[in-house]
Amino acid sequence: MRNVTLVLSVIAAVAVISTMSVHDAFAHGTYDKTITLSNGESRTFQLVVGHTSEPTFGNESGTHDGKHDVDIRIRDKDTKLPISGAQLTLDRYYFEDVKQVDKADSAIDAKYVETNIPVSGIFGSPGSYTVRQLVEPGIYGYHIYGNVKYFDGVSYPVDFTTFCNDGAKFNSAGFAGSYGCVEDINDLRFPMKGHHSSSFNDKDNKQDKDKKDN
Amino acid sequence: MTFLKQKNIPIIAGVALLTVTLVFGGTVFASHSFETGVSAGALPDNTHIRLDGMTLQPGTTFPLYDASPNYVAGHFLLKAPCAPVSDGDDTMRPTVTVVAGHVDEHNAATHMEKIPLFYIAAVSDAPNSCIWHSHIPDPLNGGAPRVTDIDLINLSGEPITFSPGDVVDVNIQQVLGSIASDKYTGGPTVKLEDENGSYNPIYDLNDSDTTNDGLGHSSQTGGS
Repeated sequence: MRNVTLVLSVIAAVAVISTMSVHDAFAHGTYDKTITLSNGESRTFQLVVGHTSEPTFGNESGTHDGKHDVDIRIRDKDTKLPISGAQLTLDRYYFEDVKQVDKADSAIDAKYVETNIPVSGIFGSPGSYTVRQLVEPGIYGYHIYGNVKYFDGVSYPVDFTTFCNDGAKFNSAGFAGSYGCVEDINDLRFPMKGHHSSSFNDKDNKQDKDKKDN
Repeated sequence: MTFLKQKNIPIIAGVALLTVTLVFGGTVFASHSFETGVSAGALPDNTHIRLDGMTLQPGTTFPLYDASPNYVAGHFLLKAPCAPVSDGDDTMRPTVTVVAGHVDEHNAATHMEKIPLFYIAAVSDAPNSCIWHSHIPDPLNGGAPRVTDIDLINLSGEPITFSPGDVVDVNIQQVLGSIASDKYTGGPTVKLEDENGSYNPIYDLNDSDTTNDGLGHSSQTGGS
């Protein structure tokens, strides 16, 4: 009977600990584009999309700057050689929460939409591209379109939409993997307002109790 | 006119040769868009291997470079005994075969292929000893996509004896990833036979034959 109790306790503990891991760090997602070279052979290049410095947290004055740029890497899928010289444009979307995402039929139903943002190559880092931004807690998505010049010198069009994990229903077909949405950095605070204090470890709480007793 | 003295003729000839080389010799090398190079201020890793005096018996392998677990990007140079790609061809191939890819402790993760070579006629001494360049990896013209290992292998059926001045130079400019996370699978894959027989595919940007130019040379007026 004691063994059964022990096993149940362990299972319960694992379940509780699992639900406590709130801030998952997601890898970037990928979008593959297969092309045909002039010699008839096919190649695939890959756009890797996410945010810089994951996990991402929204701007909070005095605590976190919220600077999590859109991070785009373009590379040959098989060799992983970086591909420079892409000409890309980006539209970005913002939903405040999952309820808004659930109600929306399309990315353009987002609370905020900004279009025609040029994507910049990062100097000294071939194959790396970015759109700089300060973010707020919520669900971000990006429509990325333009041309990628492969090693054969030919420009190939790309056009796809990707959202952070909570908005993945808007992802274009073929987008694989995911990246984290923007969280509230205050969720990391400990102790925070509303936390139940322990009478043994909370010195201030103990002092308050002593005053009342006196 | 006093400059045109007999003792100055070698200088004049040298300057003329250099001028011709700079003006027309710039067409010698490919300029591949996929070569990553290194950032300014950083030194690439260079390995220079003398082959002179070595005789490679038929079927034997001479390992040149092993960057495991990293797969890398870089530039490869070979100076070795050569022969025409086909009878009467002015484009030369090495008698030895260059292979690259990954040799793993697990056979299933081993993948080796011949690498495409660009023949550099201007600095070759055909048919005695010739020079080729290769870009590692070469996403356009073929070969293994992820390279940790480079080897020479004698598939000619006869001993190959290397002469003074025969060398390999491997210049590694970037680590592209780890073969531990981007494994080859389904091996061992060793591709040694194709339409070129057991020899490397050879490209030549400077002969009259444009069918052997390969892909990816962004210009023929300069480069590496």
